[in-house]
Amino acid sequence: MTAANQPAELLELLKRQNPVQLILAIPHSESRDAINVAATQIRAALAKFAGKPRTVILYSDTLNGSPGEESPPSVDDVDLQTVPFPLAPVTASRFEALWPVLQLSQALSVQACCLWTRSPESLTAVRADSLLRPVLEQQFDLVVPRYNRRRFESLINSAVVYPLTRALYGQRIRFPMAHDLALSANLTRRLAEPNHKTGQPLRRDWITTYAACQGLRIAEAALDLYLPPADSSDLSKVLAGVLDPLMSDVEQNALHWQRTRDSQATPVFGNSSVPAEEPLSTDVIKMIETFQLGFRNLLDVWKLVLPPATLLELKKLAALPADKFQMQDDLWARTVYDFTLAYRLRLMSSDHLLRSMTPLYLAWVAAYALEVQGVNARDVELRLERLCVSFESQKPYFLSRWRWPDRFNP
Amino acid sequence: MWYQVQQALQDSSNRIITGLANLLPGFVALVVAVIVSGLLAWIAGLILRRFLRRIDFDGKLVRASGAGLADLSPAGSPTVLVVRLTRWAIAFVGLLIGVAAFDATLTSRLAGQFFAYLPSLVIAALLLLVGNAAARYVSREVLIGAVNMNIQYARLLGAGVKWLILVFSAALALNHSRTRACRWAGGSEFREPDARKEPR
Repeated sequence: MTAANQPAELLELLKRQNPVQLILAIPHSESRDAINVAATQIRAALAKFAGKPRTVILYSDTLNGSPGEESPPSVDDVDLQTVPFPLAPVTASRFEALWPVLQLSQALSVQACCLWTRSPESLTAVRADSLLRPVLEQQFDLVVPRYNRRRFESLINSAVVYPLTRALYGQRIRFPMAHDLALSANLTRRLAEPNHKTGQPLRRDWITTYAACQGLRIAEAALDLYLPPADSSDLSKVLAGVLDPLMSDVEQNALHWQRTRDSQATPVFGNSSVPAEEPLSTDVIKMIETFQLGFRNLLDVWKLVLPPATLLELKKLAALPADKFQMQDDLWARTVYDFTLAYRLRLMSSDHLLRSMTPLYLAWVAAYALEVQGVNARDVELRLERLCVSFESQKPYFLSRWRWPDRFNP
Repeated sequence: MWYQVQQALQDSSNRIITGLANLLPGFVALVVAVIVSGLLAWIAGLILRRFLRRIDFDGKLVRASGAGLADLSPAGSPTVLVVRLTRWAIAFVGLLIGVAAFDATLTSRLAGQFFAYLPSLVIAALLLLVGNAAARYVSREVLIGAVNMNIQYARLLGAGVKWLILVFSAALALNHSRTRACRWAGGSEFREPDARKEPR
């Protein structure tokens, strides 16, 4: 274990030693033992790589043992070092946590850097191999995890984030918001470039879409890992928290995605198991009631966002009984596109806009839940694939509205 | 005696008719000024609306200043706000011209009173404007929150909050303008210096 705690000191120290090829940052380090377990697994994974890259594992410098407890011996050797480092926890912004790691990686001219935001013990040798091999040996610039997906989990991702980013940026990255990443030296250098005028970091919270816009090679790593359970106490807040940066990113990258045509499959490394069957635990009736209540009360707000044809379809949907409740994919795709456009046009405060979308999202979830309960995992995948195809087929509608918003306004 | 009565009636009729004849051109001028200014206001509004739509005034302004201005404007459009303000300004100027033609002394007195009262009016209008914007924002906030919490009387809650803020801001505006009006009507500004002395 290296004694240097400050980035500058650490940089000097590492520069005096053999060149570092890989930096792996683990911000959520619970104990020194956990770091040792991760280091052992990483060593086992890297032993299979050609040239055995010299690796530095950064863990949070706030990690302290219990008073009086003796720190377990380090597992460091010539090829692998574990170093305490001022890592910010990945809570609100992934980029804030990644920024110091990017700076260090660029200063050391490493071949790859990796951010692992899960617990250190969960980084097994197999997972490390799937995540790192595409960057270290296959010349990919970005590797993001493909988590296992239970049918009623990460639905904001399945309903909006994945289909929208896939249709707009042309890359089929299943979890574009994934916090765990492996980056090449090329991408690291680009992300570490500060603003030329202010010297401040150029915040890029959506690294996947940035890499897609830059035409970099992207791969996915099947890690046989589930996403941690999300806080669902206030759905509208969660929805706004996810969609706000996503729509802001769409606005910033408008020049790129307007030129992108069809989507292409992303190479997947590693294997994952088929998710187990999951009973329907959500109250579909309540979701439908919330949508119907929203239709009765939020129509004045939706009228500012949605064209009359969409409102008419929503009216028909609100009149359907629960057993026949079904939301067409095209309708949902156009609704998401219309809200993205309204976000760009600043028709109202972004918080109001995105939170007013909650009843519509619940309508989609209710229709989806009714459709996929009782079907097997493969059919669920096909169902979501149909949704993505709808988003792609409705992209010309979004393009038209984006370029000539007044033409469709009611 | 009958002659004198007849003479008195004739004199009074002459006076009334002369008075009316003196008043009539001014009245016609007032009506013409109001009609012409109304027509001008309508044409100016039409031209201004087309111009602002052509240069995408709403879009540019909202992009530059955020969604707050759209919330403030009627029908969510700053263009409509600008057009309405312009129309009312032209109509008001036309009315002033008409009243000036009607009676010059009355107009100068009215203008004097109006300009003395103008700061209070502006502040009261600002209070109403801010109150209106706040009412719209908060009522929408409450409405969306209530719908997402599945509260059946969400619209009632939103409307209640909106009217509460509107009434409060109107009361504030009225209170401010009335206080100033009372001070003004009480003549504190126009009293002789001796009259302003504190009573012993």
